[in-house]
Amino acid sequence: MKLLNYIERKSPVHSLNGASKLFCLLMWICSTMITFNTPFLLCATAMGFFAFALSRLKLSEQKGLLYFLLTFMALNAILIYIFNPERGVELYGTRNLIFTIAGRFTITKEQLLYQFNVILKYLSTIPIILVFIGSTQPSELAASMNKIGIPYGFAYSFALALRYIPDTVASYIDISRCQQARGIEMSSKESLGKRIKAAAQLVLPLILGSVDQIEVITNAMELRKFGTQKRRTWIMSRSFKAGDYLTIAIGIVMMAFVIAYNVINGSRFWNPFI
Amino acid sequence: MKTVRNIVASAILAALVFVLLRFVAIPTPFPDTTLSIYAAVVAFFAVLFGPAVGFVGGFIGNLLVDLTAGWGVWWTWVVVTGLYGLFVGLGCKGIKLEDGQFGKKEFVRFIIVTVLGCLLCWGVIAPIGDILVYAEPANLVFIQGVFVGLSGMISSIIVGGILCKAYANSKAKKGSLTKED
Repeated sequence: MKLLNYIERKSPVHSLNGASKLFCLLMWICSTMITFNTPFLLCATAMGFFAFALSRLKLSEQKGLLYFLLTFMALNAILIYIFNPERGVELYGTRNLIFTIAGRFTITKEQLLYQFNVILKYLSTIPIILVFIGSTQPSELAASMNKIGIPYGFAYSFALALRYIPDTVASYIDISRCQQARGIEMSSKESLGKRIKAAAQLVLPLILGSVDQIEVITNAMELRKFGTQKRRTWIMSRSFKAGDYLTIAIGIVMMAFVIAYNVINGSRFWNPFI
Repeated sequence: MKTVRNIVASAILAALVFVLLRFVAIPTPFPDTTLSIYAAVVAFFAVLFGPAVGFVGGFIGNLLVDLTAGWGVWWTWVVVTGLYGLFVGLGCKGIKLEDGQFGKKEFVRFIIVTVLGCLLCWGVIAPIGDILVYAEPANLVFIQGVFVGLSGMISSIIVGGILCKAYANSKAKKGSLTKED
């Protein structure tokens, strides 16, 4: 399984500065998380898919993450309905019954709109997350983060974490298969105590192996005199261009719109039922 | 974040937190709740490398998980994971795992610190943050907080304890060599 990997390609999105993309991503996630404004979410979804097309990435390249996100989205939608089939009625304050399945499981217009909003929230963020991860090289991101004032130790840590996640996932899967081949059971068939013990047997080699890895990486970096100076120059550093200002502007506009809408409307919900 | 080792350790801790939160979940008798063991790794790294590594590694790891999870970034919980590392790192200052030092006394101290840390971080700070920042219903966030705190406690004590012991045992004790007459 591949998660969080950068894909080298020539595209307008790839040539953007990592910091402006990170800023836009955070604004995007926050604004779509806050709002329940359906037209805004529809717009954000369309923009997200447009950005994905612009980045020339292919869906097949991001399969692992995509499946995970879609599964989570479906599961969440089902759980919301099962836990409270009339959550939409509570939120919108009106009740337009379409039909009843059985007992408390009713289908109302409000619930459909509410669940549609929740699904849109996911759909509007998924493409933009895929674009960010696929089009941002970790070292470039570190360079950009340092440029906007984040200490380079932290920026480098962030980039190094992104760089090592695929490796850690790979070694986790290897260890997990080895332990399963040795007959270690982690499913609910075993008792809780045995499961914790099994997890420890799985996690111990992973973590202690990673601690050894730290020494190796540290030595390699120290040999290249990393961290001896207060400042640092970056081979991957890029200057801000017109596209970067546009990206940052998109993030600010989205956030500003959501805040303004909440203040003017008095609630986070776009309500067509009143 | 002074030394190169701390920078690298934070990054590796973040990667581990990401993988553990994402893939390793121990099913419990309760439906739809899993016992996560990322708290144990944060605690172990905080003891081994200090509070700064615990904070930065926990923070970045949880941030990356939230970024790729689709439920949005819950800043309160992201910060709390970091704070837990900071707390354990400060509370366990002076335990030198590098020198093979992790006996009964250190283990008791580790247990006290992790229990207090879990109570404070997930039982108090995270729910209050959620109420203040996200206007979540109070009973929901306190139940979530207590559950995550308890699961963090159990995993920190068992898995974190095993990790510290295993690591300390793999190191030679300070002064374990004596000069032959």
